[in-house]
Amino acid sequence: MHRLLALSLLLLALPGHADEALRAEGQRLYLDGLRADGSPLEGRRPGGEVLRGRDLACAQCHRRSGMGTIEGVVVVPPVTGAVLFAPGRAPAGHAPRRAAGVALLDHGFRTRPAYDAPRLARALREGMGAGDVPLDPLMPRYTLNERELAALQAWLEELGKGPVPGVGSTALHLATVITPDADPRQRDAMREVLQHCIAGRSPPPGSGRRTWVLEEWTLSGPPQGWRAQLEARMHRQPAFALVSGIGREWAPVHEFCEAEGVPCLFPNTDLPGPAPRASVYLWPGLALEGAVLARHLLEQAPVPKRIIQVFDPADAGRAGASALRTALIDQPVTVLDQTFHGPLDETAWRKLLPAMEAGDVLMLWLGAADLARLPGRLEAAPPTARVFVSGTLAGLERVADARSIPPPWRSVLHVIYPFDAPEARLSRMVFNLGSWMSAQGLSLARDTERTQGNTHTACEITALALYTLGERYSRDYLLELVEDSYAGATASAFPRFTLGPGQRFGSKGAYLMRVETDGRLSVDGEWIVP
Amino acid sequence: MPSRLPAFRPPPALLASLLLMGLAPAMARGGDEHAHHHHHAASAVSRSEITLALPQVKLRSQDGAAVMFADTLDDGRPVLLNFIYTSCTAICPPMTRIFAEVQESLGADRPRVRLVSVSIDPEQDTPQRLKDYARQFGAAEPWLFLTGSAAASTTVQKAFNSYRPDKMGHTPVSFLRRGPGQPWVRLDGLAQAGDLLRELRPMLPPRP
Ligand code: HEC
Repeated sequence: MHRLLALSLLLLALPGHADEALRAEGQRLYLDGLRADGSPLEGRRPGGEVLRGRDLACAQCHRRSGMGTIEGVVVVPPVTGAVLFAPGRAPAGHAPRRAAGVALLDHGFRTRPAYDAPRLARALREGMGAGDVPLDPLMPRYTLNERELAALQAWLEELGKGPVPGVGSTALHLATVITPDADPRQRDAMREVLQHCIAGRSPPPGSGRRTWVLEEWTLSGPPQGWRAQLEARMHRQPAFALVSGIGREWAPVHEFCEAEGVPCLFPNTDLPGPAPRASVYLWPGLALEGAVLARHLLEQAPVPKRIIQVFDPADAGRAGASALRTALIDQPVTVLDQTFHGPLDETAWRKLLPAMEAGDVLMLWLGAADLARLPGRLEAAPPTARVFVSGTLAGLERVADARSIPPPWRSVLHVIYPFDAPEARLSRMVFNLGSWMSAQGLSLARDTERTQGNTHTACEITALALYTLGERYSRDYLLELVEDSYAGATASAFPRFTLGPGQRFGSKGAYLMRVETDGRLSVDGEWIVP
Repeated sequence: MPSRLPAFRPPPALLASLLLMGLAPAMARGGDEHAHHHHHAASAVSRSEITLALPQVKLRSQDGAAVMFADTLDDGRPVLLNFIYTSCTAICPPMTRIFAEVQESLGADRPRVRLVSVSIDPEQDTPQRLKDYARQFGAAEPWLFLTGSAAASTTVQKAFNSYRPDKMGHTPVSFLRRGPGQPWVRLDGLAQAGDLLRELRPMLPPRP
């Protein structure tokens, strides 16, 4: 006990600890723009007023990774230790060009000498670059004391320092996660597209660049055990990033990615976890469907007095039900949860549906099999009731035909549909993905086409980002490049797919569809973004 | 209707190598290579006057209220307008700061000028997000932050000849107009509060 205490006192006195505290202060200044006492960093632009606030945090412009950014014509340079404390360099193969009467000049940060502590102080306080060229007025001139300068320098030196997990001497290790509850057909569709795409996009062996090696992390057992399995896989062979993947339940994978800080890029799941930072998702999942319905109901007069939602709390529909409830929390609407377990038969249905009144809204978070067993007669729901189903769960036009739903229901049904309209989507898939698929010996199938397109999107965006990344391996930088590589989303299942700094969901809205007499789904109204 | 496919854009590294050289006039001073000015892309402001037809599209303000774009801008007041998005890193916060400075400097004249910031990332920038953003910069009435469908935002950007298929290609530009039917002043570059006030003050009708 005494020895332990003595040891920890000794450790505290070691310089390592002082460094750590200094770095932590620097990190806070850099990421949050906050000083050690919690007060905000202050600065000004030449000729401008004193500025303070979150947007003065260095990470706002130089980004978390320290790798900087480009916005329009503005170039924010990298400030990682290796770059800053070495002389500026032009990129490989870049020679300043000149023409009669005009000289093309490199940015100051490319031609300057290396920074040292006094030069860094001058840059941060006075806006004078190491090459004695004033920095762009966008870069604030900061009020910083000596300790803060030292703290920032300590953090900048830390930025971009290796080693980075998953980066081997000749291979870049990637992995994809498959949970045991994934639908086998969708799972196989995902695996095929991903394997072919990664193999095709990887730098070839002998190219002098690291080849991409993809491992499949196939999980087993109940979700409680997945986290430990993931940790074991990561320990055995670290992965730089996880790409695509598939699973119904996803919370343990989400938590693993966030805790590990490993980029988890666009898994095929309808249950993304909360507040993602390391994970980037295709769409917000079933929660989005609940929010879209709430927005639609609030915009459509009259706002209903009562919403009855039917769901199985053990299944994915719970996420949609909970989002719908949350979105209506401040509204004078009663949300009645009718829950059930296991398959629904006609008797169960009758018990489940309360007597409905005109103006009620019925929301069904159900699969196709349960929908097909809706009571044939409509007595439970008066014709004025509005009935909604989750397009994702119902799987209409994918695993079942809308004609399997008893006719009286079909005509009052609205499908919340977070994908591009079927016709538009299919022709885009065929156009953007068809020939690649055939060249790989694969084919698009009606029931897996969304998974195939989304997996291809996950792979293409990751590949674009990895190419831009080059040898500058950093997980934060990869995430920043992914945010900027959504041009790869040419075959996603969604009509619009965009990202931006800090954004974590590619698609952000849904259509409402009605069921035509021939069973087809057709768009009813505008794309709704809640 | 949502647009189909994201347009192709060169990845940042490629863009970087295209942009990394500022264009600066060579100075004819006997071989003194070091006398060249380094050009700061965002800070040089260029001014032009343009006429344009305001599209009558439906947008939504930071309070969630529906706003008819042309009607709102044609309410008789001088207008100061820019394009932003809330997750933008380097360029929008300074632009919004500068609008906030203008708002402050206007003092008693503040209600006589309509400030408008239109989101170019409307699906991400929900009214709630715009409201939080407005609060972060101390924006007050009658400064409107507008969002809407992707198509409506694109229509507005195109009317102002400021459309980029990719929001990260966004460059700083501000627009000012004295009143309905008048030409717009377009300032390309990061116009400072002083630049904007110099244009704006003469547009204010004399106080009765
Ligand atoms: C509003 C955006 C912004 C913020 C916030 C910002 N910077 Fe910068 N910074 C820039 C830009 C733009 C440049 C490039 C200036 C130039 O090329 O003339 C730059 C340049 C620099 C340079 C010089 C790099 C070189 O190679 O010469 C350093 C060092 C630097 N910033 C550090 C910081 C630190 C540390 C912070 C936080 C305390 C910070 N910056 C905050 C935009 C910003």
